[in-house]
Amino acid sequence: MLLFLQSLANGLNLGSIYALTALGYTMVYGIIRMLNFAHGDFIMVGGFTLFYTVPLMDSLGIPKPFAIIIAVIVCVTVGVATEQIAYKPVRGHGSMTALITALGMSLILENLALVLFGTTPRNVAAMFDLPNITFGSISLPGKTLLTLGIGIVTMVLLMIFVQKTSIGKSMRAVPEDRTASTLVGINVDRVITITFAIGSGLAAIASMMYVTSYVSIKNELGIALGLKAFVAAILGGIGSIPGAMIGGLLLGLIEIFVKVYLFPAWYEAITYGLLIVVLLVRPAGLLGRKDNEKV
Amino acid sequence: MKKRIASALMAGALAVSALTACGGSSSSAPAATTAASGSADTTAAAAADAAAAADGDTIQFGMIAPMTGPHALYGEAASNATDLALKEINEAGGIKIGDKSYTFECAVKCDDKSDSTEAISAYNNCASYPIVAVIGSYASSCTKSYSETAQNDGIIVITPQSTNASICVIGDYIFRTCFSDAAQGPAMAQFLDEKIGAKKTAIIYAKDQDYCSGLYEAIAEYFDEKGAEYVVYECTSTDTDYSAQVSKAVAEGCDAIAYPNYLDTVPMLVQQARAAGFEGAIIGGDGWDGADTTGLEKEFENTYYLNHLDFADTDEKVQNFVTTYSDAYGTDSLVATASLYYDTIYMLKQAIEEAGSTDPAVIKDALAKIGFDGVTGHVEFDENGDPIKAFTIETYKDGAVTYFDKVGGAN
Repeated sequence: MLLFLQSLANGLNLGSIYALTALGYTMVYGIIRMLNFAHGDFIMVGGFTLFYTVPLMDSLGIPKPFAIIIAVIVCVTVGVATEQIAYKPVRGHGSMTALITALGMSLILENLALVLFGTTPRNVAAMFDLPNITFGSISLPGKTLLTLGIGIVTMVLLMIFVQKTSIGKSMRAVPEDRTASTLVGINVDRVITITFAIGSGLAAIASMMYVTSYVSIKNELGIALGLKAFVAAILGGIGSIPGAMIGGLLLGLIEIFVKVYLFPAWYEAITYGLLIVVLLVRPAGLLGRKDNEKV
Repeated sequence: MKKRIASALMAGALAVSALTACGGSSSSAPAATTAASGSADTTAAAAADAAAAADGDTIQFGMIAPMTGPHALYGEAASNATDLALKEINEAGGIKIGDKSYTFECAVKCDDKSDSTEAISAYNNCASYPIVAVIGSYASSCTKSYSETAQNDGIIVITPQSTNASICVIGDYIFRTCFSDAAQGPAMAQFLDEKIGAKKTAIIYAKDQDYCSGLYEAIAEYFDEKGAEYVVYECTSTDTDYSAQVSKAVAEGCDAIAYPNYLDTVPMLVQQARAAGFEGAIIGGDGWDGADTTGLEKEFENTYYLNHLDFADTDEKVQNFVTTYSDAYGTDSLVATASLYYDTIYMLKQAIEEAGSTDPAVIKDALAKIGFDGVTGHVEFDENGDPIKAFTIETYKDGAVTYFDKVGGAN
């Protein structure tokens, strides 16, 4: 029972990282029907930003968590720049062109990091100095609980933003019908840029959660993480914001529980096998809509 | 004009590639090889001159190391250590057989780029000289690639740092200076059993790495023999999340974790084990050397790993080596590889003197019986040519690698 509770916390933590990353995929896909494969690498960018800014904050005497603000700014800048420089010019040239551009951006970011930081894994200094919290004989790291809380609060805020604000409403309107959105006065380009900015900001939050739990970063960390988050987005129904959250959390929980109670070395095979089953039963994903594709 | 420049460049490039290629047996190859490998030039160029003189007063060996490629730092260390050892030996009068003194020389230094195909070319280049032995390589796959040929050619191979268990069994001309993985696993288990007093060990190993699964099997075998309790959790080498394995280890009441894996995932495992409330000892193999402990100074308390030696060891031999090496080449390339190549050259010298011959067939028998004391410890060989050698146990204090203890060995 104790192991179960501990695994639940571990799974939620891993799942929130997947969910925050999956949100970046799903929001961009929801708006412009494009798979932004460079999204995983935005998390790597955030990780390396934290690698430099956490000690910097410390030496300036500013509380270390403020490093996250800089990471968010850097990630948003990189995300918006990627959209403006690489994706905007090829918009309207077909989804294959956009996909290949995104793969190219991903490789550029990974190799840029390789040149700048090398292949040696680096440890990011701890941002939060919290003790382990123990309930009876189970122990949960305080910093993980804190980042888990931040992750969940971020997702709730995002839901409110998308449902209640006028920009959020535009973000939902554009994928429904882009031409009609333009007719009612929505600046589609601006909405797309804002979507990229939000997605990249979420990547920065995800990188904070990642380094708090896993400490070590390298230039390739975005590849596997991005792929898993992409799977989470599909599982939840790509294009659906609550879908990405549920997909991410589910994927994290499944991975951890398969590792704890079934076969640790086979967790990926089992996790993705399950994904295939879900897609066979519900091709649009858990919360996806079948009528989403417009011809 | 453009065309002419291009062809001139092309010719230049061809010349360079011909010169840097290690496989050539023409007389210009050795000097050129060393010119390409930077710091290596002086000795080998001098050696090549001496080879041309070839008056029977020299004894030569070939040296192979990764001078370029992913392990270039180790190649640099190996090259420096070779120069240093030869300089010391020859200043002290060279190799004495009976009344006669020989100059000990490295005929050629070859770059294997940590690539097994390049290693074969490197070996062929070495074998084109009148050498008694080849000292190399770093990577196990490289040493493996030419060991069988060397065995058939009757040339001794002593690898300073290839730990794979299947190397020395290739033949009676093949030796190594470092410990083998088949010895490393039991040493880890013995340390947990005797020094830590572990009651129940969790072995977490990456299923997709030969190094990790080889060590896991060796550890498990030791525990089976001793009847010690242990549990096994698998992972893969690309994992970042170990929370499932470590929380199971805690739930099972394990008081030690053995994690035989490479350095990159070590910080993640240690951090997650501590986060799961695991306070016992965590131990790894020589793959841990160089792991980053920044920000995890507290978590790395009570963790240990096996290494070839510790440069902070107060042993006189170690300290002498550290001083002379860093005076000559600085501390950037002061890694275990340097001391292992250095030891290998001294061990070969001792074997030649004890054999009283320059015939590899006689020297190999002397090597098999040798009792050698070097920087990295006392070496004796078992029937395969694997050394029976003590292991240095390192621990961490405030995140810095600190000498802890020694286990095993012939004495």
